[in-house]
Amino acid sequence: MDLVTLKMYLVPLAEGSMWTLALFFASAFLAVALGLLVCLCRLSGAALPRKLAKLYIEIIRGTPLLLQLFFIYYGLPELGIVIDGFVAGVMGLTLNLGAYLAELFRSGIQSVDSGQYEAARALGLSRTQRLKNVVLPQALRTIFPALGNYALVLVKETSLVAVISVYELMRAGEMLAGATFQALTVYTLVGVIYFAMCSVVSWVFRRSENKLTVPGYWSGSGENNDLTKA
Amino acid sequence: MIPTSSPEAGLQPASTPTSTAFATSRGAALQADAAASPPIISMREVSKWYGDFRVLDGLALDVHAGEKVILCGPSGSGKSTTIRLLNRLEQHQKGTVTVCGIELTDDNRNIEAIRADVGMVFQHFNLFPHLTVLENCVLAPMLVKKVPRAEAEARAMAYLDRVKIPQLAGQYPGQISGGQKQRVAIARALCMQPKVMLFDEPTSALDPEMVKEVLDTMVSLARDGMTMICVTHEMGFARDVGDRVVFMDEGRIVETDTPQHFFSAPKTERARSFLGQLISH
Repeated sequence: MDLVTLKMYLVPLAEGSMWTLALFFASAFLAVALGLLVCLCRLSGAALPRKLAKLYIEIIRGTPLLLQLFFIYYGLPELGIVIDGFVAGVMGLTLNLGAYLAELFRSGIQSVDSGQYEAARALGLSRTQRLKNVVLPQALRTIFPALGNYALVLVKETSLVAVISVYELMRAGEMLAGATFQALTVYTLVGVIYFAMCSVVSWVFRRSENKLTVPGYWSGSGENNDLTKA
Repeated sequence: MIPTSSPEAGLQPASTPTSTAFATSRGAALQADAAASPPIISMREVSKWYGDFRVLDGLALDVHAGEKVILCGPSGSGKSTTIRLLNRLEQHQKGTVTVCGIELTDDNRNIEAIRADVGMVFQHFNLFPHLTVLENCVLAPMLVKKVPRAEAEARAMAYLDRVKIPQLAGQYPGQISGGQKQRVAIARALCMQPKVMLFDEPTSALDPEMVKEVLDTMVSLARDGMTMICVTHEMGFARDVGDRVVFMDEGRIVETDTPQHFFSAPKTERARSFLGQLISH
């Protein structure tokens, strides 16, 4: 394979990768915000937000992501709502992941011992301070490994937006394979790039876990855990 | 960084009754003090229900500044619920509860302000496990009272010094013993410089050999004049520092007396049988 051919392969794949990363970061950021908001509604004392949050979570988890993307990109225009492909992709991924994260956050928040809330209340911390300084830091540690899972799933799920003609790594590979008739080579390359991206995400999460390690409370991804003991 | 200055808030022995005053005229002082100043805590006809179950039934209790009140009684008698009303961890449905001059109601938008004046120590310590001992102590002063970090840390070190564990400032709660945890919890509460300290069975979850270090800390706090309300079954402690023992059963105050009288000659049959249970093993 000469340099010109190599360039012909790599340039579109690099460009596609940039868009994949853009989709990933935009959706990840927005989904965390949405998930936290929905989670707090789900745990709210008021009935309406709680019911709406439940309904949203059930609908999203009860339908395929592919359908949700089709609904936004092909369905909504019939109601006069036309959305750009990239934006529709971010919307779909965010709405989808947000529902799962909302439940993940809930599991983390509910795992925090009620004594922690009581101590924080007794010390005079406001609701927001309790959440931010006492509950969420502990909840985050509990859910961290699962959060890493969702991050990896998201990297790969960005490939689904190829079907609503968003240009990203999968779509770039598809077009390249069509143009060169070298499907095996192209999809191997695409696979290697996805694997590399996932490896980086995985590494970042492992490192962050270790940074969050607290002696005697939370061992992070360390090998020194209760399961390894004799 | 370990500052040597001691905390300023009314904890110096100089500003407080001496230990001899404790030992001598406690009974007489009880009556005299009561008339002198308005109570720092006042409960009137307080009742509370969990569903149909009445946990508190027409409680009336006044506590004056500097007083040490021991709440005791059988399991389920409502003693924990009673002190948890005082910083509104629980809400009463009938009657009035006044703490530091403020009546506790649903309208208290600034319930956090009242809580800042009332320290609480729990049976299970409830230290924040993700924060170091020092961070546990500076969190509330910085967030609630907006004390600058340097000052909050200096104050925290002074109180950790007071509970005799300044060397643990950088440790996490998971690394220290139960007795040490409870002393950190006491220091954490003191860092808010409260007017009243509530203790909810502070030694019940401790191994026997760690009870003393916590009780010693509490005795020293009492000697310095802190207003204290303790739910405890530590009868030695009650005798040593208590001004009054309040004996509860089934949500009512059955008997109130000085520790000497209560432990040697309880007036009610209920108290007699309760005390009998305590020493039968």
